[in-house]
Amino acid sequence: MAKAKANAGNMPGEELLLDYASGALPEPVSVLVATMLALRPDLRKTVSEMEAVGGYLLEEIEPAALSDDAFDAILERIESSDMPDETSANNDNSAPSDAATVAAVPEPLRSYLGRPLSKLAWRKRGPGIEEYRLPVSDKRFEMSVLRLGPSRSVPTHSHEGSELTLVLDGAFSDAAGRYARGDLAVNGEEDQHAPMADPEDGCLCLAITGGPLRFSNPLIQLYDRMTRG
Amino acid sequence: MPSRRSIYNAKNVAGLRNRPEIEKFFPAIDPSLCRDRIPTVMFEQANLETSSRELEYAPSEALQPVRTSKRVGRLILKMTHDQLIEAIAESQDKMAFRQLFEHFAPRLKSYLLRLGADPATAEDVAQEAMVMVWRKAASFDRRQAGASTWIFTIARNKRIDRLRRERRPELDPEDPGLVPAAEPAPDRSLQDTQARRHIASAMRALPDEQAELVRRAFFDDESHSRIAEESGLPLGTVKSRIRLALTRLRHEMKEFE
Repeated sequence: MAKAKANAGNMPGEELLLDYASGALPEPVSVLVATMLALRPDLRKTVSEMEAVGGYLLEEIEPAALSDDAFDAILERIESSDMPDETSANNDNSAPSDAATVAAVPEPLRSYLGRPLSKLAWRKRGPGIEEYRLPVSDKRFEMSVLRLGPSRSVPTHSHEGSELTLVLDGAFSDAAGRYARGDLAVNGEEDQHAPMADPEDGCLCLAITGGPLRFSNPLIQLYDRMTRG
Repeated sequence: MPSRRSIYNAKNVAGLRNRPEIEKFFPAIDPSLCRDRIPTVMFEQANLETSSRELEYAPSEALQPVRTSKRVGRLILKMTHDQLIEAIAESQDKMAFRQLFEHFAPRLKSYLLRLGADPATAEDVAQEAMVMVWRKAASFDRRQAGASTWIFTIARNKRIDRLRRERRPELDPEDPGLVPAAEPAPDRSLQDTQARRHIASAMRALPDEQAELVRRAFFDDESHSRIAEESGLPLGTVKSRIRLALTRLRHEMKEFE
């Protein structure tokens, strides 16, 4: 099964999934992980197993005493309000719905884009390379969608901290191998990688760089990957 | 003292299928409400231990004092947590909500305290999470997650929202852009308690230090750096140990599947 590799026990990227399941990740990284999960049923299963551990730990925890009127207070709260639709709390309703964007970009990233791929404020970063910088609330991070034409290559670049790259559409390759839709590449600060887009389909990917991603032990993170092998 | 405790043994209770019998022993139960559910019936008596037996259906209106031939006590019809959430979804059942609240709200408060909230905030956020449980009950799907897992994820997201003032981005299971699983999710309803037992055994099978690291991975904010700070271990070591613990945990869980 193609899933075997991603499910292998010693997969370093599993920490990222654990931090997502436990709620420890900052918002931009959560956007990337949740979007990756939308593309990866195998990893969704891993995350729900981790969440089940969270559910177990909740059962196991020593309960803390509530104030005496706690239940009366909550009854008042649920009786005084109708049932507002909370389901949209996570995602904006401004998600673009054109076919091309829906096909390439799942939720929650689609809502964060806010408009169709064709109408984003793309900036040229080189021949055949375009970047759209997403606004982020957490200024420690930079989050971009990158669009590479067929066989286009990102020049060897350096970044502060590590870089997470999720393939949304198409594929790219670097020294560590090929990354297809739903695959994640984690590169440390020191990495000299020169990713090249697929010769036919090019590549659309989401990249996050940032200080807190500067994993303390860069040796562990070199060529960390979460591909399906 | 089994003879005194089991005033309704399994056969007795299961045998109470016709209306006069049910009305005699369980006056609060309307047989027309009976459905194919299997909750637990507990008969609580003063000075006696609780006995619990399976019965076909337990509407929460039956939480009333009952009198049987010789003994007086309180009949508690205890649904599983999954069933309580479903009762809220179906009929805004406040008694069901109360049972859920009494079980989970003190645990949620404790969870939030461990994550560094002050007591007033912890209680307030626990309350808000329980309000979400009430409101979102209709979206609960026991095939996706058991009650405690579902409530954990609600509280986790509420905490991010309230204490970190960030949004919690989640995938949308209805999204046309979502890549569906090749095989449908297994129905966990039958195995929910089993699954919980498996996690419990898996956790117990971990060395103490690793179990504690897994706990801290869930109960400490800011990921692993604080664990490293407090345990005096290099961050890389903490991470690799958590990874090891997770690997073992998942291996143990698979053993039971």
